[in-house]
Amino acid sequence: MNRKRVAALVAVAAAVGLLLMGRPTVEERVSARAPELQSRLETRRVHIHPAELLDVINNYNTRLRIVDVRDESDFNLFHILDSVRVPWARLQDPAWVRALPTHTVTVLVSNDERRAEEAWKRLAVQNVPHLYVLEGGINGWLDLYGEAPTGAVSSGSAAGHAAGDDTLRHGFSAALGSRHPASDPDPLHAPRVEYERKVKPIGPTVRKAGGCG
Amino acid sequence: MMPLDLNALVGHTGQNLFYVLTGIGFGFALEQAGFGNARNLAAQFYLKDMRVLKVMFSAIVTAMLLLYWAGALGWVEVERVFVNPTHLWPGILGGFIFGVGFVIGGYCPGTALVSLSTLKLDGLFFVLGLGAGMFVFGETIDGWRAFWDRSGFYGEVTLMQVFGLPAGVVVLAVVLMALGMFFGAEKIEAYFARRDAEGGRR
Repeated sequence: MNRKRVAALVAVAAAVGLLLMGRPTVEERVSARAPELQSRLETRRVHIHPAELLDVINNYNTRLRIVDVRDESDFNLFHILDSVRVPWARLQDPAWVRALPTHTVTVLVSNDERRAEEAWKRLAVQNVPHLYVLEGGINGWLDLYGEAPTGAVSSGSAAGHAAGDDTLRHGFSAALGSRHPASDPDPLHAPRVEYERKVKPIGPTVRKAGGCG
Repeated sequence: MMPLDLNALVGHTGQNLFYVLTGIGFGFALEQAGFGNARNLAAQFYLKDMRVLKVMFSAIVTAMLLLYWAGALGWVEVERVFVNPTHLWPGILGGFIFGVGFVIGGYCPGTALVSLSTLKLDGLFFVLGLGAGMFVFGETIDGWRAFWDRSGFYGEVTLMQVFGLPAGVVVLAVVLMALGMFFGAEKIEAYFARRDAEGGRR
């Protein structure tokens, strides 16, 4: 058999093998990389303090996307201004992931941290860059910025929610969404908190190009 | 997991060094394939030497199989690989200009640089013309922008999205199409070689 026929057979065999094998799902990729992802989370280098998130929100040189992965009912009760609720299934939708802008800091938010960390794993295996988890989640955010007039009831520090069961532990008299004062705290009057800066600066946006020639 | 953020891994200088090495490899492969010679390239259009089709399609099939196998094994996140956005009408017009320039000049931009690297005069003049064309385009871009940037814009579309088929099916179809084209190309080459030989005897 000559070399051309061998090469043709190899190409067809590789294509048929690919067809039979299929592509690993996001869940399979998360399982395959579970130890590595868990160790990255355990360093807490991707968990940002609510005060850092507030600073990033008010830093107009940084493009920010706040992805809220909570249930719709909790989101309707309260959410951070300009956050986007993303249903769980969409985190595994390649078209949605592909459409995410690259030069943007993405902060994942849940009531505590557990659900946001699971979302982080699913986006991390899809190589979404500049990905962070809000430390303490919405409960931690409200602990810091939800003052008495808002109707929110304080319940511990941000770090204290790390191992929480991801339920909303603040009461609301109505579904206020982003009309709640704590949704958009005034940085000049917000409590000043020392925190370790973790969001890495993103370089200038460069238009991607490619192709032959 | 790939694609890697080279800038974060090896810094700006390392990233540029990687580009230089990749470019050397690419240029070497093109020169070895005979793409530094305009006669070889122009012969494609007269169906006498189909090496351009064979080399390019071999490269496409090889890269496609490696990429999608790497994706299947979880080494590369295929969705994060850059896809050129489709600008249909500018693509058709640009493809027409590109093709006419290729058949007249005997080079495409990349192969013109390859020929220039071996100090071929035709390659030099082709590259000078190329630079002049880019300059004129850049200086007149405002008059073109609506057409160039927005007409027939479909975003980043792939064959899988167009046909609604899984990647594996499309990969197999492209491989079979390439093999069919290789087979046809060899037949066409043999036909023209036979005809030229008979013409020579007469």
